[in-house]
Amino acid sequence: MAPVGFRSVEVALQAGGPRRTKASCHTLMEPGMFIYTETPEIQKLRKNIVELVLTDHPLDCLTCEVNGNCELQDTAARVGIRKVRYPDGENHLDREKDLSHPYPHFRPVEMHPVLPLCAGLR
Amino acid sequence: MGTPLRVVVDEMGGGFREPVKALHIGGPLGGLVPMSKIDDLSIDFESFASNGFLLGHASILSVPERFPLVKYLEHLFAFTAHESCGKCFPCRIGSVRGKELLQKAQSENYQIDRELWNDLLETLEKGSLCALGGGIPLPVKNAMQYFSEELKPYFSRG
Ligand code: SF4
Ligand code: SF4
Ligand code: FES
Repeated sequence: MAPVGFRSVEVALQAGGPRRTKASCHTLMEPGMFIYTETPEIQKLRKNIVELVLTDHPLDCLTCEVNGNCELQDTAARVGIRKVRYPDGENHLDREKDLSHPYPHFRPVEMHPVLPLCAGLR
Repeated sequence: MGTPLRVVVDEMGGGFREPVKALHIGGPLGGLVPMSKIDDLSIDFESFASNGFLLGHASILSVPERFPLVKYLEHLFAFTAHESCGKCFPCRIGSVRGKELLQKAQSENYQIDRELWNDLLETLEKGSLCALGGGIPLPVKNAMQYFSEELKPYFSRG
């Protein structure tokens, strides 16, 4: 499933049959499965999930050292986010960047170190 | 199983002590049943499912007439945020944002954008990895449907 490279796909057991939304990293591929990665519903879901992630992120790319070389930035652009609609809320923006792990070093988006690639980030 | 809900409430439960507007049946993630639907339901899974509710473990909690529903929904999101294991983003962040939106709509001159609200519910429902984040939209959607008048001041448009 890794090549799909996105959180959330729709899966159907027959072409054109009923589909269910699945997280790609949590779903084993099975023979006869039909996998849709770019339905409008899935694109919308991905966008909405990434938007939620960005509610806990500084979003000042212009002054960020990884600007232009950032998977989060790329993902947000790819799923089509122009602005975050949620008002400011509780966040973790005062946290230090965690350099203890080998995953991409985003600004302190509140991510669990073992799951930093979730929500369509890879 | 199969007993009419009305019998459970009035005969077995002895009725209500004060006016009640809704029954939250099946736990925090169960359906929110308005009083007008009580006579349509009996205690079985099909009856609840076909009416857009969820029997779940069939606990019954009464929401009194005097208790603001927006506060009740805020409580449901706070519960979800508290119980969230944090594994997936929709539930881990979405439950907190849902709670905050409802708080802001009560304490400030702020109305929740309906499209944003529906997107949040859909994201929780479809994007959550388990039944906690995936389940919270059901009672919220029941409330939006059956108590639209009461909830109207807190939402923009429509
Ligand atoms: S980590 Fe990426 S998305 Fe966040 S501010 Fe920096 S460049 Fe922008
Ligand atoms: S929906 Fe389930 S898996 Fe996801 S954060 Fe909530 S409790 Fe955890
Ligand atoms: S795609 Fe779901 S955790 Fe990575």
